[in-house]
Amino acid sequence: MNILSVEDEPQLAKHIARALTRSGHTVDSADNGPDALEKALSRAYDLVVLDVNLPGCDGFEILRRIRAADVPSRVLMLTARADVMDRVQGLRSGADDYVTKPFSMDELLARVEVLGRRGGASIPEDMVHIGGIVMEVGKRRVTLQGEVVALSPREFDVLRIFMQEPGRVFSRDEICERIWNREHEYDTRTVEIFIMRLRKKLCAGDEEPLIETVRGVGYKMRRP
Amino acid sequence: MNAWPLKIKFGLYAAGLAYAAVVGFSLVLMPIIYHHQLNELDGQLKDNAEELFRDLENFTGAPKDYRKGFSERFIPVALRRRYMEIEGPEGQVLYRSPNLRGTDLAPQVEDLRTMVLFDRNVRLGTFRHGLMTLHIGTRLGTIEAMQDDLHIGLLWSLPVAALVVFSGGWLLARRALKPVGDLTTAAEGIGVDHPAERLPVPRSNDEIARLTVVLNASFDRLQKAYESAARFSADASHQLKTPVTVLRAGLESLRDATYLKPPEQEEILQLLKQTRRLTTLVDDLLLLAQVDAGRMKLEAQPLDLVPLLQALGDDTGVACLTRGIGYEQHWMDGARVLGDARRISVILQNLAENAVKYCSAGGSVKLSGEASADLVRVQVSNSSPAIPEAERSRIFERFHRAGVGENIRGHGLGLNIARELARAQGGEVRLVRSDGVETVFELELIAAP
Repeated sequence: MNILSVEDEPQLAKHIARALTRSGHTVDSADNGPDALEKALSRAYDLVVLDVNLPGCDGFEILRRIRAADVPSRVLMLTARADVMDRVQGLRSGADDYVTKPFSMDELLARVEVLGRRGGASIPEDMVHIGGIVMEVGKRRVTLQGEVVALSPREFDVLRIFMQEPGRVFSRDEICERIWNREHEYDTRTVEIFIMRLRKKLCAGDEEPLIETVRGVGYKMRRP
Repeated sequence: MNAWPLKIKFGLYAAGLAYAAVVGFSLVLMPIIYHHQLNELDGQLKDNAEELFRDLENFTGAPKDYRKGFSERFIPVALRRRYMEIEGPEGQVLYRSPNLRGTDLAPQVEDLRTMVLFDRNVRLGTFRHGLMTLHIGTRLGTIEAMQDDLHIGLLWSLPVAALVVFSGGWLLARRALKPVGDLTTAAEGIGVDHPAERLPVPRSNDEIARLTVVLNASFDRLQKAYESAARFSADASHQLKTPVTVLRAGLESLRDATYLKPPEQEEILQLLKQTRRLTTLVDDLLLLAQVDAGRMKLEAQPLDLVPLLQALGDDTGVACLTRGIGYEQHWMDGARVLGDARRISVILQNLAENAVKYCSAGGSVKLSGEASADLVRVQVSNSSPAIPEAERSRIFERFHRAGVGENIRGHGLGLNIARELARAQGGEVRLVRSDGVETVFELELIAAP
């Protein structure tokens, strides 16, 4: 994809550009509002990764102008605040997705992938299938080979993370972060226990567990 | 007396001053009157003497020989009540009034004097005419009676004057202080909700008007400081989170580097976890900054508490398992509350995390909930030593950590944040019991109708 990365903090801009380039994207960078606006309007990027707080021009303002100019680029906002206010404002201005700072590069790349693949917003699908597992996200219901599996709330949350991005490796920290938002005294150990329980509940027979341990990194869901 | 209103103080001070003035006035006035009356009396005595001498000279049949005494009939009737002694040229007594009862008035030095006669103060004058010397005296009774009357009058007038002046002082002070009362009322209206309100400056150009102008200038400065603090709390999230993001991105790219050995990789993972702690701390501080600025907005809406409690039970159960302590939970069947789900989760997580963290080894953590018509209560208890009485209110203070050894981690914001968040949605967090067996904290929330 052709991506425009708009970020005023040079270190962060460097990391974003590097990560995106490594994943095979072509990246242009802008470090201020007017420059970003000029680039975004002059070339139809597939995706604009846009920081909310920029010198010279607010990220929301750039987003509004991109939308007003009918540029078909998708926009991924980088926002410092997890506040409802930012989300509502962003949605109204027409952003396709958000990543809250501080984000992990893996998460950013995953969101970028989703935006590229779907050609649209990353609204999670309600029904997810992996192998014999069917997850109905809205109803919080999981079946294995047609039979309902009773999962505790957190077991469900952990499973959902893997089901929505099968094949991707998640570190323990990343899983914790998605479940709790806040850092939590016993979280990494807690995640291990939830994964152990999930394996037990989802393992039909002696086959390899669906959630694999990736040594030294974390876990991933095996694609069947 | 420091607590008395200014109006009363003014009245009292004024009354005191009036009191002192009246006393000082009498101290000056009374001797003046006394001396004036005495002079008048002396004049009278002199007139009497002249009258007597004239009579004695012109009276037909008056004694011509001043060596012999004479009888009372030569004395004018008007003077018979005076003390009187008449001496001849050689000092022989020619006449002595009977009321003297034989007392000799003669051996005196001054012409006019006051002396005690028969236990009374008497004014005496000595006058000479030809060969005769006259000592004539009268009691000071009238003058003294007048002095006494003056004393009594002044004494009586003191409380009356004090009362009048006190009331006057009070009224005056009330009038003078009325603008201050208005200022107080106006100042009460200035706050976080109305930071731009100012005190009305009185039309007069007096001290109070100047005070008002100065106060308004102070409010301007405060508002500016407040606004920059509020701006800080809005900007700080970006200002603080961006470096954390950079830190994290850098650590992640190091983690993925292939040339690192496992111990170094482990170190990087620990550092990554620290960036999450940092994020949580930044979030907490920003939240408290919002609370302090009175800007924390909670979207209180009806929600089902049970899923939040089940998730909490899930986390806490596993955390207890990890720590090797017991765990129990007793939830109510259903509980709808008014609140903000994300914030309630933070409160519950803080309380439960503390319960696990401070639970005695071999003890247990218990979570329970109960719902009534208008309130929902969640109790979080653990086995722990009693929190000392003195610590009980302080544990809710910011950065306070109750008697905790350095081996237990935490930044001491948990309970403070839990309480602030609960209050922001009409609820409360309190310590219910700490008796040495168990310590129970309670979250109270408003039930949704």
